[in-house]
Amino acid sequence: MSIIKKIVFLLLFFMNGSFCAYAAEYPVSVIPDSLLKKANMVKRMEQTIIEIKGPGKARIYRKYAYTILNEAGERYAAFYDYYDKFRAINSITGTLYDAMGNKLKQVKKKDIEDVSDRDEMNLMTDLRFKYHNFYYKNYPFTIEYEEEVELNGIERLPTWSPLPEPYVSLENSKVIVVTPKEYSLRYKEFNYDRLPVINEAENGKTYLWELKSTMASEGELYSPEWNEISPTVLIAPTDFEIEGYKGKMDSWLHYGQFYNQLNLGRDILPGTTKQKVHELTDGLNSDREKVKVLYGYLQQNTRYISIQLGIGGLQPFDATFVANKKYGDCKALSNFMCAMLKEAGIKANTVLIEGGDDATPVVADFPSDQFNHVIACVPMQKDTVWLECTSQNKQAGFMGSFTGNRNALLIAEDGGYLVSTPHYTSADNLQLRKINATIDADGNLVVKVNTRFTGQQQELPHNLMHVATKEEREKYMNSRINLPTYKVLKIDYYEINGPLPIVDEYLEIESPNYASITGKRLFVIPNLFNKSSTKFSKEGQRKTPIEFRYAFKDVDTINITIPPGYTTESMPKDVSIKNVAGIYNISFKVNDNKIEVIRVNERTQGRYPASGYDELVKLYDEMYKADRARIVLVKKEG
Amino acid sequence: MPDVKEGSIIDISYTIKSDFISNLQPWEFQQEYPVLWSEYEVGIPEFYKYVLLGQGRMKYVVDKSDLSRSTFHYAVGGNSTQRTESGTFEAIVDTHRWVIKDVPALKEESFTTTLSNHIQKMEFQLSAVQFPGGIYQDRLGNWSTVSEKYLADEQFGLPISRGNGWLDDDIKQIVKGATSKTESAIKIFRFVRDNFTSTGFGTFLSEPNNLKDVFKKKNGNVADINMLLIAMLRHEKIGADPVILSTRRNGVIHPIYPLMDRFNYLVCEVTVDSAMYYLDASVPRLGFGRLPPYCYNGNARVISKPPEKTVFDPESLKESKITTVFIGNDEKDGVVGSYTSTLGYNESYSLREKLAKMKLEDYFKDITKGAAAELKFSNPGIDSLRMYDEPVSLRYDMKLGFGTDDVVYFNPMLNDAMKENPFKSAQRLYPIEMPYVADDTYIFNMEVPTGYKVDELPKSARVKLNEDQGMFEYIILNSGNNIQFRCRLTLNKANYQMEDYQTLRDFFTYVVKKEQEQIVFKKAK
Repeated sequence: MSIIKKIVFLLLFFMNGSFCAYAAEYPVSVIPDSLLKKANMVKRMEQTIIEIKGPGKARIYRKYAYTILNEAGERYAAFYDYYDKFRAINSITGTLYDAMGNKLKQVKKKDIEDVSDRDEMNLMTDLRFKYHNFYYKNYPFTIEYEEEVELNGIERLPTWSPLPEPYVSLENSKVIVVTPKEYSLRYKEFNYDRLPVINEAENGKTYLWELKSTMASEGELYSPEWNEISPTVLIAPTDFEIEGYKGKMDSWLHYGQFYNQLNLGRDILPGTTKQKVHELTDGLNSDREKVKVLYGYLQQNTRYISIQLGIGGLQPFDATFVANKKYGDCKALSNFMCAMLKEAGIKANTVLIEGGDDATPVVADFPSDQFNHVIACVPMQKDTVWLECTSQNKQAGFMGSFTGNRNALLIAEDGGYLVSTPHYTSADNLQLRKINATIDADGNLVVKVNTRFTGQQQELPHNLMHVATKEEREKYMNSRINLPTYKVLKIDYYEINGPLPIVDEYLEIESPNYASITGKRLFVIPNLFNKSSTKFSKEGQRKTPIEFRYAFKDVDTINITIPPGYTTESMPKDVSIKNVAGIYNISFKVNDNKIEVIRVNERTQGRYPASGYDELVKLYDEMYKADRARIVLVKKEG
Repeated sequence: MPDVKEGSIIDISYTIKSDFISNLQPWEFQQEYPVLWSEYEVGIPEFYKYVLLGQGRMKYVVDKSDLSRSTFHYAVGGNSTQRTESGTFEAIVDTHRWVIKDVPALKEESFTTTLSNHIQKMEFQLSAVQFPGGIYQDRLGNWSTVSEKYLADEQFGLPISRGNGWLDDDIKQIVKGATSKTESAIKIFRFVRDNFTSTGFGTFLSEPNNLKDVFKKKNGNVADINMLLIAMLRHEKIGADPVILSTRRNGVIHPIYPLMDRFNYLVCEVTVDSAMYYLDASVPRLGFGRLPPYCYNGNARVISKPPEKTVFDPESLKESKITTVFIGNDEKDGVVGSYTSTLGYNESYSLREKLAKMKLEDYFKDITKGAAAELKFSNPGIDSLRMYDEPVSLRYDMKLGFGTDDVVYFNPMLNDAMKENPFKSAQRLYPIEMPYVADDTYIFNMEVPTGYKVDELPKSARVKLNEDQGMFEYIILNSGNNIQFRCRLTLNKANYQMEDYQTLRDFFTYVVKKEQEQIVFKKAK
């Protein structure tokens, strides 16, 4: 038996010994009351041992026991894990206990369902899942699963984040990493106030992190990313190996060099494509023009499809493949784009990034694989151009919600560099609306709306113009036009492309009985389309800081003509607030038979201490009320 | 296809060769996209007899039949003991051709069971085969023959016809203390409902003879669970039979022919102590004798000897809701009130589902956060939350801030006013199908707040929907210091023709308008 195995065995033995008190039964009655508060699930124990044998070989032993307290926690009762070319699941054991701690059922790997990950997005992937559920419904109950996983090729190591969700409490969770003596393990802790327990033996090192007895927390809106507010440890190798490729992860520069190895020689274009590039760009004057034309060519001639097989999950199909087949995934398409630009004499790079509207920011001082997407970048003196190569209708240079406002890793010739994608402020993400409406003697409303959307705010109308189904268009209308009954008489869209794109929307709508006319009075809510619907609960002490990651500015200028002969009986008060949550102004005026309302709501990006919560609640409260404020007019006498 | 752009025309053709004569390809004339020209031509030799099942109201531009003679080759036998016999014969072929032009596209809408109930299509069901000189082979069968087959099937009737003695001990525990057969049935039903998880719809057991396995695993498809229920009821000599049906999203079954692949669900018909109930133990928290609304899709079939027909008509499912509000003056607290609402069964079911995952206080906060600022809600309570056979009652207290304003506008419907028309589309291309009918009553009594008098009261009104299809009543009265108000909305039909859409939409526009009206109080001088 190898020395490392001996160390692992000793550790397991030691730990099992210390669990004798619980006798692996997990009766619910011994859980302290404090851990049952606000919890849907209690992690009774959780232990992961990562045994690293070399830069490309590791074994992971995972065992956990969760008590599911009620139906809201039922999703934690399921077991699932994935396997592929580089990761094999050697064994799984599952056990079900009732509330008293009696063992009810047991299951082994051979009885567990095996499912493929193929879906609409992934044409072909070798990723498969093991899934199991006891389908037990007598709450509370406990499930315990144990598995052994083998890694043949390391590019990522698991993150330890024992409490990543609200309404879950914890009795004990620990992670142990065992490495050969010469192996340099890298790690970074968040919200962990102790040092890891490190033991150096003759033939190996162990690292231990542990969390005990933590109460469940409540989910709070507008919180920072979970790894910033809950204990998390990131671990990563220094030297790593996968499919015969060797790399170093101690710096972004070195990590980028690994990708250069994977990409080497894959940017050769076939002769016909080279010709096409020259045909399209030789007559153009500026680099910027050439980029735009070649990006347009990419969008019109290729399609995105995801194929993730083996090392193909990291290494792109070469440019010749894309030129001939006319499809590829994000890596292949970005690589193809850069190859075309290179042929036109323009320097361009692929960039690794975490895509997604709400993605976690890259931890800049911890080089590791924190990415799930690839884009292309054309560095320029001023206004570097960024390209999303998987989209057939996105504007050149525009990153938007999916890839904007964040760090990414540029793969340059000599290695990797952390860079920032374009940042969009509230002045970039505008919704400017001009409304002209008329209400007749029966309360029927006819309205003409002109709205200009810019930056991230134009993404929705842009998608509506290019990819939405009729059903999605109607859903969009119903959510933007929250009038009780309405008919859209006319719709028109107009786009202005560019790195900060604009969409102009024109609508003509009629809404019967919008204004309530009873006897001698007319009731109308003049803020037709922009009613805020967020409301915060005022109870309890907020724990996490407040973070806004998305900035915007909405301005509504509303003019409504009403039938003559009315005078105002009740006018809502103007509101003007400015605090950490942003700016909100609304003013109401009635001149003769014209109602004028101007509404401004602006929010900037930023992070504020939890103590600012009261201001947040106040702004949203007042905005909610004022958005729905009603003007009451009464018929003039005589 | 890399060069595809708007205006491109793509030509595709393919050939299918099939031995499955019982599966003659149907044809859908109507699609998600508009169709300029849809044509189907089918040549059926006279020895294969099919029933033509057409659906849709569009007129065919071409709808003709041509008879012709054709020669057919046959080969019979050909194994090790017989030599192959082969030859030719002549038979008449009926070639039928249908064409429709300019077919509009389909669009999924609210209040539709499924588009496949309404699109223009042609389906074929093999009813018999008779080769020249051969015997007549009925392939369609009738309900008697199909029922017999099913009752003898190991994945249907056979497992529930056995004694199932392995249930002896468990059932003894489950029915302990029951004083009547009905009580035993209820106890058994609740046991299955509360301890088993459904993994999907189905009309057959997922494995032959698997009831013991299902009992051990505690999960199975809808048929597994309800067949287990039937087995357990029969064990106690309670009459129980399987009923197969097609859920609303799955389309309607054929009223006459046993077209078996249209069925996708199974429930239980129980007769005990001279009463009949329909049970579905696969749905959590569903009461005894209740079926989920998606089962109410018209005809259904009881597989018994002899087989029987039954109907689950959505019009027989009525959502009745009664809400009562009292508001009065309190010397100390100002204007206070109480709200009580007994929900319809379906709304009760939804609320129970929500409260299984969240606390009452949080749900209460959610529903009251939309209310006007002057209304303060407290003391939420819920009755019969766990009495799954009964509807639920929700109640809470209110405090109204009348403040010191000269004029106060007050909607007597408070938070319950309908804010949106459920029929938002301006146009509708096929019938409206609602899952049940409704009767919603709101009763309100208010003492005029101290220091104020009524300046304006909305007018009473009564509107009918097409004579007898529904009604909306808004009756409000101010006598002395009291305001009495009653608002009632009834819908008596579940299915409306597409021509009725505009009337239905206008009806609801009126309801929304009325329910937004305000009482105006002015400070008494």
